[in-house]
Amino acid sequence: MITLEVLLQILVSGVLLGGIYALASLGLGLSWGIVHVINFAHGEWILLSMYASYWLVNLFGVDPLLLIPLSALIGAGIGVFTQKFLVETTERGGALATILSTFGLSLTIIGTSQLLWKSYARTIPNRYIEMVIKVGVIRISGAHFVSFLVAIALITSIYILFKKTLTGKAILASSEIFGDAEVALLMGVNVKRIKLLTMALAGISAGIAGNLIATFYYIHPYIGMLWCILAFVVVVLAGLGSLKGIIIAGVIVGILECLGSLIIGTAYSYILVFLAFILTLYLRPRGLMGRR
Amino acid sequence: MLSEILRSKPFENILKLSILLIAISLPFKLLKLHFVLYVMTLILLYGYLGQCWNILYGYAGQLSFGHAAFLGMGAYVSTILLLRFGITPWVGMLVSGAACALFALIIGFPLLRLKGAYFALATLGMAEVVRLIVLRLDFITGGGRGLLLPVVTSPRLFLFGDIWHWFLIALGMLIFLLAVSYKIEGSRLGMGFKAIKQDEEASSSVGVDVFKYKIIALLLTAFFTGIGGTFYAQLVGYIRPDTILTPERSDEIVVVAVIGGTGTLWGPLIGSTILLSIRQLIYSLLGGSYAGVHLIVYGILIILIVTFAPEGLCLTLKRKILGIAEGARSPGKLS
Repeated sequence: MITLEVLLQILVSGVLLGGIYALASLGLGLSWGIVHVINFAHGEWILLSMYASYWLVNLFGVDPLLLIPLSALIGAGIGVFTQKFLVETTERGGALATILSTFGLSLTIIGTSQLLWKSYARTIPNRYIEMVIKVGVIRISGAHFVSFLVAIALITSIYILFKKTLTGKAILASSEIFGDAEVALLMGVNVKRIKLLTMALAGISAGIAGNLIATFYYIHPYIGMLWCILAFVVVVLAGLGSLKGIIIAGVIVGILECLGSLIIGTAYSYILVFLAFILTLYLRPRGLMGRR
Repeated sequence: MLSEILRSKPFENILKLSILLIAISLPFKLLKLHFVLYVMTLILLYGYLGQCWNILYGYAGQLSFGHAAFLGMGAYVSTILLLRFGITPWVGMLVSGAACALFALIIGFPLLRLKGAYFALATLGMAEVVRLIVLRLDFITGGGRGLLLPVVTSPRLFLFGDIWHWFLIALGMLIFLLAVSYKIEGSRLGMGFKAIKQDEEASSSVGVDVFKYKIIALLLTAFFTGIGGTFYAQLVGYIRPDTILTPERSDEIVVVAVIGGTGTLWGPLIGSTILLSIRQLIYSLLGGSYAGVHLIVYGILIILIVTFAPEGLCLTLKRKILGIAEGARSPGKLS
């Protein structure tokens, strides 16, 4: 049953999906790796942006890709809100308190979307989902392809931000993995503002990820949790503080999911992903490319 | 008088509490206010489940977001035993607990090597995997349609007609668990848990077998949660993955314990009283048309508690009443 053709298809689909997973996980990687916020509301950040693009596309008929700036703005807003009202206020309780307060935010957002938009699974009608690109024997979903391109562009620009700009260097300097917050403070970095900025960046990437995902995946109040777990899987597999790791881990998860769909069926494909996750945590608790 | 009660021994309080609760329930029984008794039973059940969770997190410092897995397994094991083999849930209950403990032992080896947030994540993943597996094994679990318990009244099959009997059994389970927890608190085991919660590396360096203690905590919590699962299944009368294995169940257990106060004997009961009262109030006032309101309330409650009373209501209130200064007991750190 599994021919070379099928394997090639799985590889290509897995890589495309992996790029999107990498983008969906980037925000979590930033907030966890740099601000040390283990954000349990990450999936609901994505969810909010998914609903926003659902309504804008449905009410005004705009192309979902044109909404990227807006979803970035929404993401930045929720990122700043989380940092200001849920992280800074609970700092004295340690990492655990932040997990619980962001967990509270995720429950609130799930409840709100259930209340306002009911527990239907919704999809966004758009031209990308209907597009099928044929390359030889391989078929590629248009929505996956477009999302993959945007994801790669965004990850690259974050990479450039860190490597080339002063702000990026300040961000790295104030994280515990690459630098030292106290030393950074002594060197004149406004660590508090840098953390806020990083959370806004995390929000932006989650927002854009939500917008892209909504073009090919269904929207439901509880779907944020799936993306949250997936993002955690990717970030943990990657190891904290590794952008390259996030891309590699994203692709691994993407391929595993495609393989899982083939072997045990689409609805259960995540079993394979989670098992791989638990196994990796067991064998390499710091991830594939972890720095700490 | 209140401060006297707070200062007296927990063991006496456990006895006093059970007598008090039975006394409170009697008028409702005589007036046949079944709904109130039902809510009280749920309060006791959630207090029980919160205390199960508390053994793992409150005492041993291991945060779990996946207790629905144990709850669901407990419910499914005893129900399948009853439906397929006709084994009474009185026995099935213990088998459920044992099955959950065995499951905990197997997953404990990889999972408990993880620390702090990584463990929390792995439990989240574990619950998801259990839910998916139960859905997949539909020839025995009924898949998404779930399983229906016999609609009969038979004390032998753990199915009671009178809600007051459910209430008494829930009370008995809670009292037993509280007594066990109290015994643990004062024992060598409890000291080991406390040391691990405060600093894993430091306690391992002074000779505490960290892994052994963590496995024991996981076994205890899985065993008791599994038994709770059987009770839940018997009380509700049907089990489906989307009612008993959902993240919502795990979340509720966490919220109950965190609101009341982790690491305390009375916290989960206080938490479940608040949570269930709010939940039932919302259901009765708004009906089914405003789904989601209860989640918003849980979320806001947990944020408020973490921000303003991180030790939970139990200790915060106790401090206020007794006038003890804050900081006498520091919350555990998470690496």
